[in-house]
Amino acid sequence: MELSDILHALLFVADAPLTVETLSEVVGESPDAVERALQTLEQELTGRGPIQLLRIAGGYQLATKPEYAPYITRLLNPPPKRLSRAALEVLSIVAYEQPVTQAQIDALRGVDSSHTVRQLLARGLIEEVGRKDAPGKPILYGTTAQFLHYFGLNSLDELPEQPEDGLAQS
Amino acid sequence: MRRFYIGQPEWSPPRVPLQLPLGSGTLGWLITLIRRQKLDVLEVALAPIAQACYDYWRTVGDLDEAADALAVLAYLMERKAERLLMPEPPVSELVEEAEPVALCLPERYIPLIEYLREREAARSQLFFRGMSPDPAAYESPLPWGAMLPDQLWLALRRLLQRAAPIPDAIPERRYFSIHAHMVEIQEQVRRANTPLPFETLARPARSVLELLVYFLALLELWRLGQVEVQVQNGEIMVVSGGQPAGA
Repeated sequence: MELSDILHALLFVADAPLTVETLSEVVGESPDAVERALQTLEQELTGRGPIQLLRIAGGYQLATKPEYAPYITRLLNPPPKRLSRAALEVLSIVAYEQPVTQAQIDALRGVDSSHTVRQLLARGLIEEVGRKDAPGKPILYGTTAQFLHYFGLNSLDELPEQPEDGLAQS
Repeated sequence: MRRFYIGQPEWSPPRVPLQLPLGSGTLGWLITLIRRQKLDVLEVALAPIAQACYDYWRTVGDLDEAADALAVLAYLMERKAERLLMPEPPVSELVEEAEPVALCLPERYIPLIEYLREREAARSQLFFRGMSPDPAAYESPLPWGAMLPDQLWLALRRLLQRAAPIPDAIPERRYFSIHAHMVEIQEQVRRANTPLPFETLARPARSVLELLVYFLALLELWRLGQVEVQVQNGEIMVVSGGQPAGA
């Protein structure tokens, strides 16, 4: 059996991105060998068929190619997913400034963000990453792997470069 | 005639005492737990509550109280049916109207917001394996094990065919208590201490209707983990909870 075929099978049954470390452990091969086999698989899948291999949320996952989306949408009829403007504002602040408190988010937006923060927590797009060493020990928020997955990103490095004048750490 | 709506401050449910696996209290206590989402109505067996309401009404003998208790039961049944039939509501969508947009968002975040919006649109065109509906939605409340529901149905159908058919006109109005049947089944199973055919347990059934009441009682006991059910050679076998059916 080819290593790339074994990896293909593992990725086929997985319902979340698999890291190279996990794959390496399962197949008993070095991470380098797994990386090379994944590249081979990626090329094979890109060349033909409706499935592609994506690097997403820090791992690898199989997904359908975008050109098949209209047919799949007709079959699954998924609910429309679109975050509100307020949610994107909060996410953009958290993504750039993390770890960040809700008070800092409120100050930057000029409005109360508690409802939006709660919704984003419920959707797993942000999470509590600690407590700020300040009076009241406010919760610090950061983005999650689900955030990366939701936006089809592999890591935060793929975000547009952060401007110089970031949030002054207080 | 009294008019009320469950949940209105002026309404209070009858003080029906309840002894449930999750604790003891009154009907009002149960409604409050469900309304405040401290308790999933799917976890609440309605048969003992119906029995408690009936016993209460027989003790008090007040028709208004009986009507109130019936309304509460109907409410609980509606909530339970709704939860069983309707899919889980998705985590509430982030509705624009509910959330204030920033009044003074610094310019530096705008490109990122636009980028995230583009990525969101592109990502919505991708479908992943495992994006199927939550498997928990299909989870049966009964511990089916290796036995398929259709095996159980076939076994029950064989029994139904042997029972007397439901008459066109019901000659007398009979009161069937699922709770009483549950107690009866449990008692027999405990005494036997070996797997018992359901047919034996339901032998006193005089009609298809009563056989079905026995079957519902059996399902409820199974759901509560007080008995185990298996189909062996087309026969429904019942054993006390926690014992292997083949023992």
